[in-house]
Parts: sequence; C-alpha cells; structure tokens
Amino acid sequence: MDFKSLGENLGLEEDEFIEIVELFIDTAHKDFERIQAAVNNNNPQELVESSHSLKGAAGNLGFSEISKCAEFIEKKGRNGEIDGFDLQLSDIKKRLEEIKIKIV
Amino acid sequence: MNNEKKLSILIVDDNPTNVMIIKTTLTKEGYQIYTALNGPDARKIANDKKPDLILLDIKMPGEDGFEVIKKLKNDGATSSITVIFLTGVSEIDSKLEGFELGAVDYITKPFHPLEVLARVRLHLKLSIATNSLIANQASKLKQITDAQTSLLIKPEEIPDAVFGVYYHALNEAGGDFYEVMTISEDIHGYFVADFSGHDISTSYLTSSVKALLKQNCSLIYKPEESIKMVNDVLHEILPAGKYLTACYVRLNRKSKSMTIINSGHPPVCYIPVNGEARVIEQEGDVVGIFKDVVFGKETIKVEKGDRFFMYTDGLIESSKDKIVWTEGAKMMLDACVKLNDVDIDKAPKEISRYLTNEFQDLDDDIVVIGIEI
Repeated sequence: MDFKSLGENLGLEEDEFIEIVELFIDTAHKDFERIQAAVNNNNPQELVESSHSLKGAAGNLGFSEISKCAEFIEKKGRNGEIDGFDLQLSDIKKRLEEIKIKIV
Repeated sequence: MNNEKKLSILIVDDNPTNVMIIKTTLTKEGYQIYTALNGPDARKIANDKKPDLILLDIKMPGEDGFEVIKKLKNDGATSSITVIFLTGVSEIDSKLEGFELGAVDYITKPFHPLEVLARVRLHLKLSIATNSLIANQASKLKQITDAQTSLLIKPEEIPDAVFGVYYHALNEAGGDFYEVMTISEDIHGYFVADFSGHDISTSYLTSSVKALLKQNCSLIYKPEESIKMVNDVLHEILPAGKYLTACYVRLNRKSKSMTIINSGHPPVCYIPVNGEARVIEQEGDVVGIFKDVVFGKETIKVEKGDRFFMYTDGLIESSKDKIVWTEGAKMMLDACVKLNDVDIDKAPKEISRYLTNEFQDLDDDIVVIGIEI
C-alpha cells in the first residue's frame, strides 16, 4: 500500500491524500461498527446502508479490497441475509488496522 | 455571474470521505467550496450562499438527492443553480428521473476527482456562456429602434403548424402578442402573451419578444429553459413594473407530446378526441419581473385530432361584468367544446364571437389561437 501513488492516482499530493485517509479511517470505523450492530440487531436495511457507505468511500480512495468486501456484504444484505461474511468482516478489520498504522 | 467573485460549489454527500476528496481537489483549483452531509442542510446552504453549481449525491438517508433537487428547482431563489448528480453504478436506472428533475449531468461512483473537476468546469462554462448570451441579447435588443408591430404570423405561412388565430387589438399599440414557430420538422412552438399596460413602448417590446423567441426556442433548450432565457433578458430590459403573462406550448406531432409552460397566464383549454375536455390549470411566475422564476410546466400525450386553445384574458375577463379567470376559463372551455365542429382556422374567431356576445362589449385586447394535432 503506497499512499503516494494512491494519491497520485487521484491527482492528489501525498499529504492531501493522508489527510483524507485520516477522515476515512474515522468514518470507516463508524461504518464497521454499524455493520456489526446491524448483524447483532438482525437488520438487513442497516447492513446495506452501512456497507454501501464503506464501499463507496473505500472505492473512491483506491482501497479496492475493502471496497470489494463491503460490496459482498451489501449484496448479502440486499438479499436479506445477515450472515455468511465473517471472512470479509475480518479482512476489512485487518486492512483498516494496516492503514491506521501507516498514517500514524 | 460576477467575475470578481470566486466560483462556488456546494458538495452534498452523506459520506464525509467523498466530500473531502472532492473538496480537496476543487479547492486546489481555486473554487469556493461549501459542503453538506444531508439534504436539508444542502438546501439551506444553497439558499444562503447561492453557489454556482451543486454536486449532489442521490442516495442519502432521510431526504435523498431527488427530493433535494425537486425542492431546489421549485424554489425561485435556487431554481437556476446547476446541479450534477453523484450516483452509484447500481443506481444508473434512476438517471432519467434525475434529468427529468433538472440535473444537467451525472458522475458515477467511484468517481475520479479529476473527472469531477472536468465536469464541474464544463458545466460552469456552459452556465457562464448562457449568462453572457443573455447579457449579449439584452444589449442588442436595447439597440432595436424600429418597431415592427405588424409581424404577427398568419396560419397560411406555416401550414404544418395547423393553427387558426383571432387577433383583435383595441388600439395600435396592443398589449397582446402571439407567435408561432417551426422548431424542427414536426415540432412547433406556440406563444401567447399579454403585456401589462397599453402604453407606446409595448410595440417595441413586442418585436423584442419576437426576436427573443426566435433565438431561444430551439431544440437545444427544453421549453421551460427557452422561456427562462426570455425572462432573463426581459428582466434586464423591461422598464420597472412592466411584465408579461405568457403561455408557451411546444408540440411534437411525431412523438405526440405537448409541453405547456405557463407564466401567470390564463390556462390552456384542451379538447381531446377521446376523453374529457379540460382546462390545464398551472401556476407560474410572470415573465420579466424576477430574475429567479418558476413556471408552471406540464407535458401531456396527445392524439391526432386533439385541439387546444391558448388565449389572453381579454376574452374571459370583464371588468364590467366582474368575471374572473377561473369562471372565464370554464366558459372558454365550454365554447371550445361547443364549437368543436368548426374548422380550426375559423374556430378562434367563432369562439371569440360566441364569448364576446355574452360579454356584450370588449374592454381589452383579444388573442385566441386554436391548434389541431
């Protein structure tokens, strides 16, 4: 994961990109918590909304793995399913941690 | 648009990261940026700050992008702000709805900030060009000195437009005006207007309006955009307090659809071959007084043989008999239905005669146009 080239892909300087990533980490954590809450509360609608939000933000920044995992979860939610994506959830968590470590 | 002022853009998305990506890119390019994370905030900022352009996310919790644009377009203060939608690939089906509601373009998510920048630039250019076109038209029209009042078109000059007309002016500088235009093969524009007051400047204004219609009623503009352009120029050149009420119909005989734009004018009477005759009630601002206007707009499907009538209030209003629009429009509709067997080229005159006999004597100008599909 190279912030400089990810930033360049978007026409942004590295420091500008990092500033946005900081915001992303913040909102992504909130989305992640909402996803978990949606699972706990058996709420597919909430699951769709929170994973959709995470998908969009991650996709725009070029964090495509996170975006793909979130998309997988969103699709499950649209089918009314609220399980079967433990793998994706732990993958998202791991990758968010990695990003967090990199920007500190 | 003031060149001294920074061009400003409002970014609306419930996802702060998306807002930030766009904000960073556009700020670098020198734009003044406002942001909102939900619909109601977006509308408030749009109203307070009057941004030049709005980037609007469709999918937001609570008030979504469609709801926001509807409200923006229905509010005179914000109706002319350019709106570009941000949409996920899965929402592509809703594109048409967005265009219908007045968006000028779409950006699909995930977006590239430089694509956003390119589209923002393009649409700001277009809106600046439109605004300078208006300023240009206004200054040219001011130079028109020779009044050309006898420019009212006759049905035999455009037989394809299939219309009949009755025009009666109380004095030479009549306050009523009509125009019929060929916009393209099978598409015609019909315009009826009534200027406030009957003073001498009306005749000069008539030729101005005629020129403006010619310039702005083209295929590249939607009917409501055409009248908005006419409004924006007239707003510049009309003497204070002077305005016109108008009704503009764009009829496409090929697609069998008709769009009616109404600005404070008596309602169109519609007499379909099948179905019940009706008055097409619409509300809209008058033309020429305000910079920001909202007109009544309705599009209906029509069939061959259907008729509709546009007219000015001289026919249905009488200061002596204290008859007002709502009542008058019904009388007009009755007359149109009763005289539906009369050929369309003679119908307007017959209808006028029928109605004015009931009103006894006239105290205003009259225009009636009847159109058959």
